[in-house]
Amino acid sequence: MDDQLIEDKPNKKGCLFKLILIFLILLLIAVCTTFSVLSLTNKIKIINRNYSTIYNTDSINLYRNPDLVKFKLEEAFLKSKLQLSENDSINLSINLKDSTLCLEIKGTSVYIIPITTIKRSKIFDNIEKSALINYFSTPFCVMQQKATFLKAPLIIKKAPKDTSEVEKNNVQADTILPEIVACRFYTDKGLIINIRQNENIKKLSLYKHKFIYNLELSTLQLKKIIRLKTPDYIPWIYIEIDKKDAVSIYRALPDNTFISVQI
Amino acid sequence: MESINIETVEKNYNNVQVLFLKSHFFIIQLFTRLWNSFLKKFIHIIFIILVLGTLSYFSVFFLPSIENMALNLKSFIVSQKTTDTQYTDALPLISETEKNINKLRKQLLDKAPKTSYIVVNTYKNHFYLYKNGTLIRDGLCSTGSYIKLEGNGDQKWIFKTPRGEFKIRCKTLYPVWKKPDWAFVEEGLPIPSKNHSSRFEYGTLGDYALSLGDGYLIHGTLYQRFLGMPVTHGCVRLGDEDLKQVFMNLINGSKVFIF
Repeated sequence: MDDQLIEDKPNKKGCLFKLILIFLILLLIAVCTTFSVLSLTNKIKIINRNYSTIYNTDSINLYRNPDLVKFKLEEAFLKSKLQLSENDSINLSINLKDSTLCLEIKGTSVYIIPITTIKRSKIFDNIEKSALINYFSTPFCVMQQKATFLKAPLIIKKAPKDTSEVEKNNVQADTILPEIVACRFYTDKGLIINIRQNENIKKLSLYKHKFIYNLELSTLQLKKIIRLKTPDYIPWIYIEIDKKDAVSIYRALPDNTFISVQI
Repeated sequence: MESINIETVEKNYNNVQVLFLKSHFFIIQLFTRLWNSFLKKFIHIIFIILVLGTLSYFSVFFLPSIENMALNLKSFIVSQKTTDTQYTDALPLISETEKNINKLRKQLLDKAPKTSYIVVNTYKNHFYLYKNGTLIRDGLCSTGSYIKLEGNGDQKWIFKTPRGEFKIRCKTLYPVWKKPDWAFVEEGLPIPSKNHSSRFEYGTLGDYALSLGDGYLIHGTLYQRFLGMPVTHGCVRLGDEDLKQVFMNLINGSKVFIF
């Protein structure tokens, strides 16, 4: 009996520990959920404050007309494209309305790619329409780019000492691509543009890829939540295109390129 | 001979049996204890995996979707419909915006080249020839290999095709290739003087060449089987027939877009 009593104590402790752990996890989930929703409302407020040009109720009512918003968004996109055409470098324009992605050099569309899948942050449906139009009326400057493959697949070749070494030193260009071709553009206005191949991917690989890609943003959010600060909500656009086209686009775009978007 | 005491034998036998049973029991007990501790540890590990799994799934997959769920809910609750007055009030603004759109489209169209132009995709190693805005020919080409050749000392060359907008500077019939230094370094040969006869090669560039400046050319090739692959030192190589068409359609000043 005594033995049993002695053995029971750690079990109770273990149970209590597990219960506390489960409670803490649930608490963490609740806190994270609350902060995430708060971050969202904060972002909507920030965009509305920074981009809205409407100060009276009559104008707000005007912008409730979906046709007007549609035309205004197109106008904003064209304005943004025209602004890009003054630029010397290679730029990207994304037309979610027509499901096309286009590489442009000085206003000339040099490569048009059909988009097969489009997903976008629902935040755009909740921003004040005039703010939304202004948000997209100027090009987005790309601050950072990331991809699952190299931008410049440079191969180093040592010069042969004489003609007998030529064959030995022979190297070929790197044309091998990873299983998942994906790239991400971080823009100055806080928008993230994700581009991924539309070809089928193994479920496990896709899960791994999504985990790695989401982890970065989630870590940023969790860091702020731990400090009990509201994290920054990051609006996003997700696009699926042909694998080779995705590589073509990513490699063609210079470091601080510009992107114009029509939603 | 010593006499055998049956009682002692029986007692010893019983002792042995008890000992045997005890040892047997001890082994079973030991195994049971080991099994129990293993089971406990296994359950703990499973528990930890479950906790970590839930947390990582929550933070990486569920957390981003919470925001969308919240927004969906908000859109559902606060749905706004356009009234007739709102529609008629917006009409002048709509027509004004439409006019602006047409104006902007025209301005953008004016930016497009008026003469024939060529577009080169360096990743796909494909070219597209346009005339009056219509694609008239496309096909395989070869562009820079992205090989970095390191010679003696500070000598290095990167064999990549430059990207951006270029213009045809001059067109040459039956071009002669004046081999640059890297062509000798790559072959393990000594670099000759600037105008040495070994620098001049006939027929290597095909029948036509179009210069883009800085030594970059659009030219033909002896190695047609490599078309579609990144194998050049920065120039754009085309097949014989494609090169002829490009040469015939592009004039000096025609635009070349490389990406």
